[in-house]
Amino acid sequence: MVKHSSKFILLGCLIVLVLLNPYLEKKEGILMNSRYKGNTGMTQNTLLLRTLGMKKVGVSFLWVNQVLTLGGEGSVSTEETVEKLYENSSKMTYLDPYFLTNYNFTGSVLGLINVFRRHDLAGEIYERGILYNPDNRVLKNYYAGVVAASKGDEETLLVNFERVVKETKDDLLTTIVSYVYEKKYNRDGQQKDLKKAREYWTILANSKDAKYREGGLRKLEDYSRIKKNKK
Amino acid sequence: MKKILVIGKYTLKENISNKVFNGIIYFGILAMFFTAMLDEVALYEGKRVIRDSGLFLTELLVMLITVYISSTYVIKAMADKSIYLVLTKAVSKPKYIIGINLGIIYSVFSNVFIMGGILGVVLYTKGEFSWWYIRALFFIGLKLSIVGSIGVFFSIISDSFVTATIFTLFTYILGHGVMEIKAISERMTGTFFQWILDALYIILPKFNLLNYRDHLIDPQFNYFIVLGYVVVYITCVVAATIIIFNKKRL
Repeated sequence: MVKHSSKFILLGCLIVLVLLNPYLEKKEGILMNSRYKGNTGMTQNTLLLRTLGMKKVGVSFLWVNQVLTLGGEGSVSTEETVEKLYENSSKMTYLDPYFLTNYNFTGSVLGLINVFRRHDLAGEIYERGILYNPDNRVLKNYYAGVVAASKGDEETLLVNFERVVKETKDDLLTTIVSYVYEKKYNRDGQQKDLKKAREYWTILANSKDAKYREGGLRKLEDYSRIKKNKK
Repeated sequence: MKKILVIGKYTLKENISNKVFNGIIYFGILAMFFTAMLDEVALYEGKRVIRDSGLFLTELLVMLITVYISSTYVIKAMADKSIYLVLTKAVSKPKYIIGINLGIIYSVFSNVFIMGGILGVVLYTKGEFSWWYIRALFFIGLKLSIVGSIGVFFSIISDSFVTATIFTLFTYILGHGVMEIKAISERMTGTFFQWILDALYIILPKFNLLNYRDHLIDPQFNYFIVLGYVVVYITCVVAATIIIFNKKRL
């Protein structure tokens, strides 16, 4: 029976496939619209990754490369590092514009670390991020903080970064906030700034990352030594 | 029906005893452990890196196994003449083809869940195990079931392992790029190529939709329709395979 009905089954299935097509096309449209629409970050490799359905795995490896690029800073020139960090970030955006860590990490590294100080590139990265993630407050606070840092506006920087730290517990940003409060205390001598700085160093002293934990503990020790000497 | 299930079970058993099959499975298990090591260099995104690269490796390795099994099975059975033993014992050609396809689907799902299970344990220890992950594995299984049926189809029409493998791999690649095919077709309005591309768009499997692990947003699928699409597509390919196999002189 199956032998003779194969042709009818084939015909029936083809009709069902054609009937299903509008529904599937609609869903494809949703997926198509979710992709990054610009050309920034488009290379032969990223285009291939996107076409072959390997966006997320591509982003994973680019992310590892981004971390290693920053970790290897010093072995190559600062300009090369900046270029590589920006290029990786653009590629990640092209593949997955909803990957928030890409914007927060690369933006803060380029905008806030002294050796780089590329506020222009950091701004571009944050703008791209906000365009695809307009409801994300952390991203907006990060961006506002970086803009404030570029203008030397300590107060605005602290307001925005403290909000981000409260939500994300980002170690790099906590370090920056602690240093800004410490700097303010050294300049103005106000106790409330010292208290705040100590508060953030304490958060870092409990960090999961050994590097930040050591930094936090060392700072707290320094503070208690200074306090003893004063007595 | 009983005969079909017996052939399916036999196909699965034969696949499990295959050396290439086992080699890839062992390599896959090693790859899963290697993926877990990426956590050390991935800073804040360790879990995501493990999950995404692990799922990709699972799909890639099971796809290689599936392409190999599906495009060699019938050709091997014809070469060592074991096909005649089966077909002379009151098993019709359609039942034989349906049985093989069923066996390949068993193999695909068992492989996906063995490798995915190992990755699942790693993810569970990292606190990243969720329903999303199980759905992603299930969709990989669905996608590769289609690949399996296409592999059998090409092995029947081409009679050559190399050609069947190339065609199956090519279909796998093109299936992911159907949206691009449609985009190109829209730019070629009124030309002969537009007809070809439009036909390809309907004929090729929509792997881009079944690529759940790579979706950037949730397209709000009706899972029954998607499952229905996969079943209808496989039935379509199996029916075409049966028609060709019936006309084939063994």
